[in-house]
Amino acid sequence: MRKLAATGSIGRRLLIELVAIAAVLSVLLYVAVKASSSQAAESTHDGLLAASAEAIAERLAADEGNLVVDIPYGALAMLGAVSDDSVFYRVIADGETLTGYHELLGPTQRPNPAETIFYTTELDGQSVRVAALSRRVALAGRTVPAEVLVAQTRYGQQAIVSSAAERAALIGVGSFALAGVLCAIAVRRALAPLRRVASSVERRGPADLRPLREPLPHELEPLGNALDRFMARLDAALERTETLIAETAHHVRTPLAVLRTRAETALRRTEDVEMRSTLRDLVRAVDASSRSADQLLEHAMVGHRSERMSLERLDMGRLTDEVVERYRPVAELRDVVFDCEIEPGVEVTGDRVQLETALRNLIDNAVKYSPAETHIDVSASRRHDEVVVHIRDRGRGLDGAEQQTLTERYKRGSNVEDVVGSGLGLAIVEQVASAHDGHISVVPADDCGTRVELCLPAA
Amino acid sequence: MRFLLIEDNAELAGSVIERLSLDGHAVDHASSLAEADVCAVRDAYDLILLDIHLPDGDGRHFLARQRSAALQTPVIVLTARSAVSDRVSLLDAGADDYITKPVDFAELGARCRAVLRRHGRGGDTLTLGDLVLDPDRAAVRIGSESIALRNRELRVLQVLARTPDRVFSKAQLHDLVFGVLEAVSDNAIEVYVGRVRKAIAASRYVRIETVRGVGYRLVRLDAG
Repeated sequence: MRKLAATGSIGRRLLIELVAIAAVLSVLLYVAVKASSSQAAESTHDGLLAASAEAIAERLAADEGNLVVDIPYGALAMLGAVSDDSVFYRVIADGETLTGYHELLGPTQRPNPAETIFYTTELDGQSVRVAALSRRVALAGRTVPAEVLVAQTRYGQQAIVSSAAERAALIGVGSFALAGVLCAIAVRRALAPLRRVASSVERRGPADLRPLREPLPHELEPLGNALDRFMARLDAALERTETLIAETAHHVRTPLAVLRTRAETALRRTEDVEMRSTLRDLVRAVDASSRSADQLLEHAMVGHRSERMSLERLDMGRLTDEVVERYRPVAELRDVVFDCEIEPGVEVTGDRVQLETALRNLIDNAVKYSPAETHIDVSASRRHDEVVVHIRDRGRGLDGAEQQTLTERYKRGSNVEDVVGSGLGLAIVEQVASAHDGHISVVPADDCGTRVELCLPAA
Repeated sequence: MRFLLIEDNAELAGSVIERLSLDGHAVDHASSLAEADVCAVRDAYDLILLDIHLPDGDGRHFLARQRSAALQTPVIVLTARSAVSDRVSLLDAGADDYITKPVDFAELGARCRAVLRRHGRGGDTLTLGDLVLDPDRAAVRIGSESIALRNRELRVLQVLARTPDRVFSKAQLHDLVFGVLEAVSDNAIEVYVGRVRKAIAASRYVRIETVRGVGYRLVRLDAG
């Protein structure tokens, strides 16, 4: 059977997509955590810088017509206490540096008196964070603009930021891993109903065309309904075919029956040797058509029944016996005798109609090809884990034909033209055997005749 | 033996009756279930031949009625349906055996004999003087001696012994003993007749005579 090209797995696609989402979210989480912790650290730092700048600004005073400032080293020390960073300050009064680092750059815009502004700049090749505020100080009857700048290198800050980043990364990776695991579990659970349905359909026997019985999730309902409808259609089609086969049999046989009767009657009414021979040929032809039609229909029936076998435990020995009994009167007509050795209790699991059809074909063959007054050996026995039905006739044999050829449809032996047959018998038996996981073997018997074995797995 | 044939096809019916009569049986004919019910109620028959497809109904109903009235007459069904499942259901419905159409008359004869034997209504023994022909035991008894016969040898003797003095040509013997499909040579028929002659050689009452150019017949010898 052709395997459908798999277009990937729903489960895998879903998992990949969920994991990708988790990855994106984890990265966003990392970025957010890092940013907000950097932000927090920076505002704290800025606050300290601002406090120091205010402390210095408060010490701005006028003294004998000059602005002086009394640097509160305690405040600056506080800054230094947090980390090993260097602290710088610069006080600018009226455009001139009063004290501190000249090189410390001022802000690009003069800050308003009420606000402190913060900016980052370079000083001596290091990056520094600066807090700048401005005041107007009274001096000799007028107010003078003054600026206070407090700066600190950012090594401490950077250390905080990178440890925050590390922590954020750990949180990100950890949450990603957890999300991945949870997604995998969730995907598996979500797809469980699909797997259940698939395995239950798979477990059905070849003949099981009943509708699905498991409750299905909402999304699978359309599929389940389609499957049920399909099976119902298949079942109906097979039943129609079987009925058609049976009807056809009837229609084919009725005119043949009339023809044969007339021929036989004519045959008995004439003594003319040639006429008798011709009429005999006619009857043989009728029988051949009839047998052909029979076996054609048997062949088709067996083929269809393979799709809807009704399996039961069968005693192959008893079945073989029944079929032999059925053929005994016909065999007796030519003094052909059955020698039977049937073991009790040799059981198989199989379709009764198919197996009976196979046995009939085999025994019919044996009787047909047995010369008058010969014996046919029939046995049914258990061999290891197989049941073997063995039939041996003492007829003309296979004349070198191989089993391979004989089981092909419409192939007959080269030495059987005078015997009525359609060439389908062994093909039918082989089909039944393989439908039951068994096989047949057809080989020449020791001195004359043919040995046929039908082997089936024991129940 | 008395047979009842229930068959609507006149041609087939005619042939069956003719053939069974040649075997020495008396055959009544019904061509519908209605007619059959009238006949069968007397249960005077040794065997019923029933076509399962009749114009006025399914033969299975007839079978069911027979069984429920506990009538013991064995029934052989004539059917056109060849599927194994159909045939299995026939036996379940109460038929003793079945034969498919087109009917092979040799097979029909064989099945009738087999069914009758199973029901203990086997072939009546045929007695001719010191010769007793016992079809159930496939043997011939002359006085106290019993000689086994093969099926075909038995048939030859039966045919000849049922109508003593009647001449049967080789062709007639052929049809009655071997059936239509066998191409048995005249030679082989001679061989069979020879074997039968040998079997009944001890009889002082009957023998088989060759009528040159015509055939064979069984003749009774005057005792003594």
